[in-house]
Amino acid sequence: MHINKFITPEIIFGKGAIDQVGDSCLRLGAKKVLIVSDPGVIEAGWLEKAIEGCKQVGLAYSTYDEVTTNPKDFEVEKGCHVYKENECDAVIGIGGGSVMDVAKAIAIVVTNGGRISDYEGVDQIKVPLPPLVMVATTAGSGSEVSQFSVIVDCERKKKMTIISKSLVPDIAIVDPFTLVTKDRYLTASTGMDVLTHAIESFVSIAATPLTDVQAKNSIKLVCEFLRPSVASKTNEEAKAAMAMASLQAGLAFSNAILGAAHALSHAIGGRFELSHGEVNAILLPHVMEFNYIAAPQKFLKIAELMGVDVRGSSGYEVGKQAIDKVRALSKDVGAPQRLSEVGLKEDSILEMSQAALDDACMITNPRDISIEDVKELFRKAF
Amino acid sequence: MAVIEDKQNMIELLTGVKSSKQSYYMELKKTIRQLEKKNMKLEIINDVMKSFNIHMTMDEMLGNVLEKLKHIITFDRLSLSLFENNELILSNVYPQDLMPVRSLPKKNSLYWQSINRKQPIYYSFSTKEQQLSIVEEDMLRSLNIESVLLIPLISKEAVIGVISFESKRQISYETQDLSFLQQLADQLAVCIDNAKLYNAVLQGKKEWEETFRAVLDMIIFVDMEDTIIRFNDAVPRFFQMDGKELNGQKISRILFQDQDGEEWKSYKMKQPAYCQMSVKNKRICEIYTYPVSNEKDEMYGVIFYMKDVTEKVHTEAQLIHSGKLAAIGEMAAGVAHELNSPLTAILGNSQLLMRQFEKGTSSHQLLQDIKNCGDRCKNIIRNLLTFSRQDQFVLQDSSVNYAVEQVLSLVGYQIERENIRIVSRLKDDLPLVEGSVQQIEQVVINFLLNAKDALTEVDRQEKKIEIETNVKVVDDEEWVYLSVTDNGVGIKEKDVTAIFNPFFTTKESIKGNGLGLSVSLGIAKMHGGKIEVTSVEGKGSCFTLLLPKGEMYG
Repeated sequence: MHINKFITPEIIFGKGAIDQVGDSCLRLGAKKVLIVSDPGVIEAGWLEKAIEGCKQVGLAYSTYDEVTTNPKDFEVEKGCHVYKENECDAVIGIGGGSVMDVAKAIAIVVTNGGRISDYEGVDQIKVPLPPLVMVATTAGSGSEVSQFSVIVDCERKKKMTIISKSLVPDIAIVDPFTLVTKDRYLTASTGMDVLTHAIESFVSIAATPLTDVQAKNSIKLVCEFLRPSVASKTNEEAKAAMAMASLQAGLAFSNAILGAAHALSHAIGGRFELSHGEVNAILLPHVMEFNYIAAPQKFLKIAELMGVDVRGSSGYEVGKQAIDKVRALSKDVGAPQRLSEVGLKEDSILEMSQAALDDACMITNPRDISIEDVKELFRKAF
Repeated sequence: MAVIEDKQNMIELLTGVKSSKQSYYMELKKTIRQLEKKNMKLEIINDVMKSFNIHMTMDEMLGNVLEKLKHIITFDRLSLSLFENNELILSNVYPQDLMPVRSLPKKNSLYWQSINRKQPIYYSFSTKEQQLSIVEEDMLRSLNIESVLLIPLISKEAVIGVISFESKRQISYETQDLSFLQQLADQLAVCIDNAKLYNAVLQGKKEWEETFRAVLDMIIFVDMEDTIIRFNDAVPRFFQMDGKELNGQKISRILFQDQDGEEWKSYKMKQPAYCQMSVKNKRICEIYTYPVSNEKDEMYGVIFYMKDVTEKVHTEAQLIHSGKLAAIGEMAAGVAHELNSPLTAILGNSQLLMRQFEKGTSSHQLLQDIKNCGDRCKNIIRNLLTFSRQDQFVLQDSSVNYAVEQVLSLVGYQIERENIRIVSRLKDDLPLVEGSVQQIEQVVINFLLNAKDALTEVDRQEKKIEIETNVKVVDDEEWVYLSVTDNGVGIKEKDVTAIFNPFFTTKESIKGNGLGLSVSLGIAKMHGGKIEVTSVEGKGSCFTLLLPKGEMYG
């Protein structure tokens, strides 16, 4: 590909950036916003913070917080109802990936009509969305800058990947300070999710120099700061670095797309209530092993970024050390290692495999993959 | 190779090289376009409503609407067919290419189908689903029409016709457009229906108005405040006024020049009423009044139907009067003849007896008196006979003074018996007038008897009647006049105009019949003259007969 494109929203980054939420909406012409969050965010006090921001600028608001891990289509529908009921004209998503994906999905349906399943796939959105402002409170999903929204279709028991330029938010607010409320386990799994985003988009066949810059920096930051971030809630330097890593990984995968790890993890998330971060943390090393032969040079670069001494080496062996580095990091921060650990049964592999193969993320995976390969990957991860 | 290409295409899709975020601006433009279209639709519907009036032909109207319609709906030709007497008549086509004004057959007709089903039909010749031949095909084919959209016109739940949008190619109508066209058709249907009704009403109204205007008698519609609202052509003609002046005037002012309204019975009783009265231009009218009520039975006006019966009344009066006169005349002649025989005996015998007595003796004196009285009786009888003689009316030179003397000899005595002094100032060399002495005498008698009646009702020291004849010049013309002035009761101001009306009288029925003055006026007019009255209530009246001077003295 000689031509490439790089899309990004306006990004407001830094400690206290969350206070900009009201102003940001006003600038976009909002009169009444729907603020989407979830119980965890409310508990942490970030919703209150956002409301305060709206009140300060005299912006009317309504709230919606019925969002769960792996958000469902009916949650989107309920949110749309709240939006219309209160005659809102803009959407704020404040929270992790689930909240932001639901906020985006609500924005789609309220302007485009129909149901969220009508927009599954690539470029199905025909009408512009209302102004979208995303406030990321987990250093993980990257949804605040991405063109993705992933919603579970309860009827078909699968995660629908919705990809469209229209899903790129108008303004992304990343405030590292919001990360201080996350517990150790959540910090670890979302951190591993960032790493998955960074590595998958780096080795993606759609990667471009622009995305590579973001991905490489993200990998470096995760390697350096995930351990201290998990270790201490109040290590502000580590939190800021992880927030940046998440943001850059988001920019990378939004433009270079992902790979097999996400395809498999979407298949699992459509059926089981497992957090996206946990599943990615488990799958990442296995997928790296599978993909390794397709992009040895990139793996060599990853190894280098993760602290392996690669001077004078171009060998596969050195590149392979990247996988060990990932495993070591995962163990250090206490992320789960096997699917069986998180309560998955092996008999569900079959039905998940086909769904994984059909996932849009599979297209940019560097190595061709068959249904057998997918099954084998699942088996290894158990 | 295909695999690689497919993969490349997918990646391009995913990374969005060929796609962008949906633009608000584009969306705005789209919305604006839709709004414009909506506005245009509203405008069209509005236009249909507005332009449907009687001053515009259906063709003009359709032309108006279609110029606008073209911006939002694609079609090449439009035709309008309307139901008339259970036939479907192609009544308007736009643009006006071929115009077979004929009724469309029912069999296999697309138009009829749309009407019977009461729903729109879209038909395209090239994609005929079932091979049915429709009767409209030849006609439309000859115009290169490829597809037809038919929408029935429904007004008040009845189909009144069908409108057809025809196009030279196949058109796929959007749902919005279809519903708009349906609305347009509904609106059109209502308007056409209304226009029909309106025209019918208008036609009816016009016919009535024409009828109203054609009536020779006066018809005036008056509201509850006595104000004239509408009238027919006879009214200004009769009052010799401009129609504009009449509008908004009070009817009483127009009729009597009174400020305060007459108490019309119809207002009070809310039922038709009739009266005969004289109006301000000295005409006598029969006036019929009819209350006008609305649906709630509330009266909101009165219709005055007025007939000018002046001539009729005068003629009647003349007839009655001459009838009476003829009767009086016959009677008088009879009585005169009856009295003549005894008078002859009285006169003869008294003369015979007078020869037997010396002059100067008391008997002679007595007989002389008898003879004188007999002579006087004879005179009276002769006058009576002359007066009542029903001569043919011939114009001849007559002396007004002679007429006065004749009358005085006839009625002077009975007037003086009432203690009334008669003063005559007759001009010596009064010019003669052209006319009938008998008739002039009649006028004088009337004047004198009226003066006497006016004096009997009054209590005065000195009751007198002055009779004067002379010549005066009015408007450069010389008139011979005769005036009778009394110092009796006078005439009430409001009665002054009425006294010349036939049968108008202030006297008890035994004494008068209200014909005298009206007949006098008739006589005066016949002689080319007139009668003038001046009167002050309680002081007396003066009646003057003016007659044009005879030619020979001119």
